[in-house]
Amino acid sequence: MNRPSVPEAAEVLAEMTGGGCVVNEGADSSADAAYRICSGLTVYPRNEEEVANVLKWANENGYRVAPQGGGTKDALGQAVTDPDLIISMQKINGIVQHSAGDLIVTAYAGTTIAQLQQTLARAGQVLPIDPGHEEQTTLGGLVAANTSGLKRGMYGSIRDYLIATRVVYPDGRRLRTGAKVVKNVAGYDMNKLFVGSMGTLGILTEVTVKVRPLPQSTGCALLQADNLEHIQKLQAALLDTQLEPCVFELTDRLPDEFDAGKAYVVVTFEDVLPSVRYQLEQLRQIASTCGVQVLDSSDGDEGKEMAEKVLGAIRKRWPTPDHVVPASTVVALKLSSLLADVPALYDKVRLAAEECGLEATFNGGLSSGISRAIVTVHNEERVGNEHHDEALKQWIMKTQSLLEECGGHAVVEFAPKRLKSSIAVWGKDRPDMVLMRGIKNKIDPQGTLNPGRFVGGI
Amino acid sequence: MDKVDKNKLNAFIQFAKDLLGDMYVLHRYEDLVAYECDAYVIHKGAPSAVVFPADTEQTAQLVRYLHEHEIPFLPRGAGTGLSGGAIPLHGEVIISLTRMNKLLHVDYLNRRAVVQPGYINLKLTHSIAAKGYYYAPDPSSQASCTIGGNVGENAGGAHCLKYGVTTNHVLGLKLVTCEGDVVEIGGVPDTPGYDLLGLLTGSEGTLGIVTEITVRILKTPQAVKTALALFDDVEDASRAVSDIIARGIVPAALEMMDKTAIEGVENGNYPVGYPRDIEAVLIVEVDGIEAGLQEQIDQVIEVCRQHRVREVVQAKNDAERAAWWANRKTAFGAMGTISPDYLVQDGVIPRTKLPEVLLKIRKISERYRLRIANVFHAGDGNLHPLILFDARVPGETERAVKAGSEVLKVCVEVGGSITGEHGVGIEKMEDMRVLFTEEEIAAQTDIRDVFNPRGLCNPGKMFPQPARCVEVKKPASMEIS
Ligand SMILES: Cc1cc2nc3c(=O)[nH]c(=O)nc-3n(C[C@H](O)[C@H](O)[C@H](O)COP(=O)(O)OP(=O)(O)OC[C@H]3O[C@@H](n4cnc5c(N)ncnc54)[C@H](O)[C@@H]3O)c2cc1C
Repeated sequence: MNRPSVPEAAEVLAEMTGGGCVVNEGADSSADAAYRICSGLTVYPRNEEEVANVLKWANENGYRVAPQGGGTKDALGQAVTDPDLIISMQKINGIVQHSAGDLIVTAYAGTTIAQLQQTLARAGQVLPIDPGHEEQTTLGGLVAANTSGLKRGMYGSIRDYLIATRVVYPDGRRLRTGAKVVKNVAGYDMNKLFVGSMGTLGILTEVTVKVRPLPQSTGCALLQADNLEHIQKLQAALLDTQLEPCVFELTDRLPDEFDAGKAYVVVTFEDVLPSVRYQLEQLRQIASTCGVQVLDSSDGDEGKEMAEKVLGAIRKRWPTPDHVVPASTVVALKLSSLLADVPALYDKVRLAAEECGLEATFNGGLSSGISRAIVTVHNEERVGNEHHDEALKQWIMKTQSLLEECGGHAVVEFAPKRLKSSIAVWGKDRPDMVLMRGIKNKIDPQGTLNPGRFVGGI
Repeated sequence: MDKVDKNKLNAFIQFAKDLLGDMYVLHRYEDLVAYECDAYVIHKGAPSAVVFPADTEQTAQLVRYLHEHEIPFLPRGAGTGLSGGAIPLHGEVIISLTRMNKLLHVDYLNRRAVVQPGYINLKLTHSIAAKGYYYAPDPSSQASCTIGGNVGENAGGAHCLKYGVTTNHVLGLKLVTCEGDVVEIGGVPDTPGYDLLGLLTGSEGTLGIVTEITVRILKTPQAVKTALALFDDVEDASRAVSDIIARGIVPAALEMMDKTAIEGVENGNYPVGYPRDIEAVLIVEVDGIEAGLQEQIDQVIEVCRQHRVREVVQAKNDAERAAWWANRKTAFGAMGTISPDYLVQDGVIPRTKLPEVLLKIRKISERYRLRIANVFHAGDGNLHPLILFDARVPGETERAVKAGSEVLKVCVEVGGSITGEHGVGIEKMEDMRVLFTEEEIAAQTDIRDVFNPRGLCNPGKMFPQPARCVEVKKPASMEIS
């Protein structure tokens, strides 16, 4: 194949997109470059048709493509080689239709979560997923990376809300999946194919989700324990009651005003006010029987404020390329486990870091089984960035085997490229890999979309 | 597709007998008749044999053999499917999962249970109720359908409005692939890779056989409050539905029946005593924490009053609530008391389009000169128009089928879908074209071909085909509940 040169490509793609093609000059040496997808070209299509044209062109001309939303997940995946082309979805944004009476909203894939939530809030509704970095995270990216936040235990993840999409396949086919109704079993549930697919199958251009009414009231409680056994007790006790915690998170730090260097549990409730109050009261009683101390709790406006402050502080710890400070290295792991394993992991994963000479922060969902562990190292100038790489690798591998031992897994959600080349970002291959490879080969036989970025070399 | 070759079949039967024991292999005509259809009775086909494996390993061995010898097969649970997914149209060997009917493990702390596919839906809730837990998806057929079949159809139920359908509750699967390999899928949330769990749930037995299912179990809600509202006008009832949702209430269930349906249920085994002249009944249930729940049901009642309700009452106790639900959950079967035959339809619309669609259904009913009873999960816009007909009258069966298809067209026209929970099966293969383009259908059959490369596992289902080799047979009236 006669592969067009970069300037030739730039010209063709600019033509296709009304000038929306940018040539990225030279190597980027800023602090975040190690965490970003780098490519010679970035294209900004303005609509689905342009996405289809650009992608089809790339597919026919051997140009490897990385689709991109807000770029918060640039560092997620097994970056093998840089793609030839980034297709940014940023210009394809906005609400297509919000049907409040049906509790459904359709938005273009490049719409940020913040923008979406603002629209919904005006009608007293919400998409109850809190990925963090909502000004930057796009709806399409949220689906593709399957991002979830602290409210997952109660509300589930995007797969529970996604009901329809529009998607462009590598050969330029433009398809719909699902239907814009809350219940549908016509054919295979093709929506699910794109949840967490990391842009390796198609480019989402439009997403329809179910939404919920905003809760009338929020309650928040901060609890503190001297040892993990008490937390285990609390977890078992609370989960065996009929209380309905929204957030039930174990964390090793709180905003400064609350922090005293211990293990903390944050609990929030979202419901009508009498229910929130009742549940806070019950929680206090359960906590006291488990030897866990309630530091603070409130409901009403204060409860909401407190919840936002504390939860916001946890979400802010989850790194994106924009948040890496110069002369530092950040690695974040996403851990999935059984609920009851979360408290033990809190200890083990942090201990594993210590053994590698590192310090990890941890937050873990006691009712969701999703935890995050993050290490940040600051590199003194004379030793250079790579100085801690070996320790970081050791920690990652230790944590991955810890999770494997208890039937879970640890995914490297955030790490610099130089580290990722020598670790298995997605963990070990599973036996169902054969089926996944089959799916990839059917939809993207040329390997145009994000080659090598996903599990098992997909 | 041709019927299975005799010699090939005999060899398989011998293989199966050796593997399972004689009593777990059916192959004589009189034994096979009962497996000619599921609860969709318009089409029939005799299986070549029915085999009953005891575990995953036996299932895998059977499938490996069938795959190697290119004999088509299909999985079957309780056979309550309403779209014909378990009907062996091409003489498939039926792999019945009914012997694999155990609850393998309950892990309360992690809120999960592991069941075999032939385990009956309601049994799970019964087994864990003493500890205050339950399994949320509650199809009306839950006393007889299997959880494997629920995964096959992605079954829903009255309480799925708040709690979601089967796919929202399946955490892991053991799958015997169409080639006879055993793979485990999912387990803990967000297993890296494509969401195969999501693809398999609702795949109607066309992507392999599920032999173990890990499901989420939930804590039984602290309190439940139920209101019953009787309306003189269907439109008022529909508007009440929209308004309840608009108030920011998330009911656990929001069900509706129209006049014809009420006539049926009142003649059935569980009459509530609804006045015969009302046009619609709504059942609205809220559940959760007791504190503040009464205010919510009061709001519901208030909304009904704003919409000219004739009478609205709150269930006084569990017994009364149970009576209302027994009446509602046996609605399909009860139609047998007012019509020799009936066809259960299943379409979905945006719930705000309810009044408009009900009007159109009435027009269809008039045009086809067939009564249509409407029973539906109004909260999620999932309609079940029951088309009443008499198969003895020449042409009426065909008319009923056509009327059903027209209802589905109306659903799609207002932005809905051709099925909300009963699946495509045989019944709606052609209707798939109403919802999807050829390209969109091809994208789905591409996925099927990855899992089911030789097309031996439940062939000729779910997707439209160029030619149909199906004869319309005389349906028997359904005897359910
Ligand atoms: C009176 C009545 C009321 C009903 N109410 C509801 C309702 O409220 N909501 C609802 O959703 N449905 C309802 N149904 C439909 C039906 O009960 C459900 O679809 C149910 O999930 C089917 O379960 P089953 O065990 O009978 O499966 P079957 O009918 O035996 O099989 C259904 C499909 O799943 C496949 N399958 C079965 N087992 C497996 C397995 N182990 N692995 C892979 N594939 C498999 C089959 O091949 C077939 O395609 C109702 C049916 C009746 C008769």
